[in-house]
Amino acid sequence: MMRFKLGSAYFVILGMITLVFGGLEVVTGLPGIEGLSAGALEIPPDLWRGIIIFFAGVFIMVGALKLRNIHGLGMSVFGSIMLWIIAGCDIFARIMESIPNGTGGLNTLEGFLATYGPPYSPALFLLPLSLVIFYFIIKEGEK
Amino acid sequence: MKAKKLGIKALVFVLIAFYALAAMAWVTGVEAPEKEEFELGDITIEDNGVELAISIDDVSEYVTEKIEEGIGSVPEDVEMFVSGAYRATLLGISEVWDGEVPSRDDIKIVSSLPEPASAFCFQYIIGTGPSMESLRTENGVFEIVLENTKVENTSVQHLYELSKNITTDDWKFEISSISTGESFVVEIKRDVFPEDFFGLRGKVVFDQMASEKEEQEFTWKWSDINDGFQGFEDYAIFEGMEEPVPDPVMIVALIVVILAVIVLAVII
Repeated sequence: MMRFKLGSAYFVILGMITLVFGGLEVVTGLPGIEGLSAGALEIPPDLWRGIIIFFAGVFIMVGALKLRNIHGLGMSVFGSIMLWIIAGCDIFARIMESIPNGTGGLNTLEGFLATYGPPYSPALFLLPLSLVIFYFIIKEGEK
Repeated sequence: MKAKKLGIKALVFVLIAFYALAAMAWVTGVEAPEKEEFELGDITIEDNGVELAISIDDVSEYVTEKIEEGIGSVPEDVEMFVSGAYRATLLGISEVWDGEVPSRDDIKIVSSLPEPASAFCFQYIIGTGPSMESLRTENGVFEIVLENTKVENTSVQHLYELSKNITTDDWKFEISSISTGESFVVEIKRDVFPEDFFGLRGKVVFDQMASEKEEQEFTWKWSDINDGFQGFEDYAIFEGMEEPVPDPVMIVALIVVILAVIVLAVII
C-alpha cells in the first residue's frame, strides 16, 4: 500500500519536472529564442522534441495519480516510453559521434570520452529516474 | 525468448556503459581535441617575380566597388558569386600547379558563368580587371564562353543582363596553365543550390515582384550557399572531388564494439 503511495508521489513529481523541461524546450524552440543552459544541463531549442517531452510529463503525472490501477500505470508507462525514445535518440547520437573523428578516421581516446561529457539534455537526466516504473510493472505482474 | 532476453541484456549493458562513460567524462572534465576545420586561405600568385597573397576580402572590396560604379547599386547576392569564383580559382590553381605558386601571366580562366561579380573576381586575380593597371605588372587571360562562343562585351551592364538567365549548369570554370597547356575544369555540384533557386533569384533581384517572404527566403538561401562556398570542404562543393573514405580501422572498431556488447550481454 505504502509503496504505491510513495510511487504515486514520486511519479507525480517526476511528471511535473518532465513537463516543465518539455515546456522549456518548446519555448526555446520558438523562433528568436535561444537555448538555455545551466551547468551540465542544456535545454535544446527543439519545438517537436519539447512537445513530446511535455506530453510525456503529462502522461507520467496523470497516470501516477492512480498508479495502483492498471490504466494509471499504463499511462505512466506510456509517458516513460516517450521519454525513453527521446533519451535513446540522444544516447544513440552520442555513441555514433564518439567513434569517428569527423574526417574519416577513428577518434582519439580523449575525443571519444569527451563526446560523452556535458552538456546533457533533460531527457538524459530523466531517463534513469523514470526506470523506477519497472518496479511497479513487476509488482503489477505479481498481482 | 532467448533472443528477447539477450536484447534486454544488451540494452541494459549499453545504458550502464553510457552512464558510466558520461560520469567519467563529467568528473574528469576531459575535452575533445579541436577538430581541423576548413579555412579559406589566400590565393597566392606571382606578379613579375613578386609573390602576392590575394584574400577574399581584397576581391570582395574590388568587386563591390566596380559593380556599384557599373550599375549604380550592388545586388544583395554579389558575395555568393565572389565566394564561388574565389573557391573555384583556389581549387583550379591547386590542381593545375600542384602546390607551386603560379605566375599571373601563366593563368588562363575560361568561365561559363555570364555574371559580373564572378567575372570581376577572376579579372582581379589574373590582373585584367578595370583600374588594375597600378596593381599589377603582368596579367593572365580571362574569357567568358557561352555555348562555344566567346562573350566579347564584358561590361557590367551586359553581364548583369545575361545573369538573369543563369542556371546551375553555368557554374563551370576551366583554369589552365598557358605555358604547359594543363587544365582543370571546376564544376560546382548542382545540389549546392536549392531547387528553383535561380527562379527565385530572378523574381527577387530582377523582376522585383517578390513578396517579403520570398525576399527573406532568397536572402537565407544565398547566405547558406555563400557560407558553404566559404566553409565547406572541396568534396562538398565541387564535382569530381572525392570525400575521404572512412578508415578501415574505424569499421573494424565499430564491429568490435557491437560484438563486445553482444558477448557481454550473453555473459551477464
